[in-house]
Amino acid sequence: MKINVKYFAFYEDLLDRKEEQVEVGEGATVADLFNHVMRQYEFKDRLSTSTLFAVNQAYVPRDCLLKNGDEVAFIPPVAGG
Amino acid sequence: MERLVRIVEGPIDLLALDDWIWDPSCGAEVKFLGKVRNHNHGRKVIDMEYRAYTSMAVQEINYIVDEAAKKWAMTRCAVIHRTGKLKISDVAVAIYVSSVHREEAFMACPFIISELKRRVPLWKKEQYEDGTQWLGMRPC
Repeated sequence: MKINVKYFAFYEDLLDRKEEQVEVGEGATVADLFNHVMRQYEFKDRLSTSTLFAVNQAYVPRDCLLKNGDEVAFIPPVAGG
Repeated sequence: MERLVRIVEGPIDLLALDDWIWDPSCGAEVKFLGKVRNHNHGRKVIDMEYRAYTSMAVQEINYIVDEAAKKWAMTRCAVIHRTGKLKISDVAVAIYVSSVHREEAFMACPFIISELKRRVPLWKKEQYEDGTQWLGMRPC
């Protein structure tokens, strides 16, 4: 499946990119995608507990199943205002 | 209820907001401005950068305004958040609420800013004399 991944703030700086398309297998969850990306860039995931995830611009739990073409955002702790 | 929800890259036009929030049926206007502070957790802040997941941020703010509208009878409600590089004392967020009587606007305004800070995908990076930090993140 092809997933459009968006990186913001901390992740945008860490990975030096705003978005990319990532290929994952059928049945992959949001957590699988996150771990796949972190492994790909050789970062140890020390931050996942504070990171939230959105699929198609709605917050989802990390065990949310992905569909081909989904837009997924890694959302580090928000700090508006 | 009339609403105005925006994520903007330049300065927030407060005079235009003053005009927009006015309604002859309203006896109350509550206005909150969130500004860039020159210190945080004991460190001197030089400037600040805000970023947003703009489309989702607008959607989440609209959900928050919906929730506020169910609780309190607002006549007009504006929520504008700025992104990009901001200097000390620049306005990062403006929340204006007008209502017939004061209680509704007084109650809705803090609810909206608290929820915005809790769940809207906006981020800020503080610039210090000796480095930068995304707020809320531990060093990795």
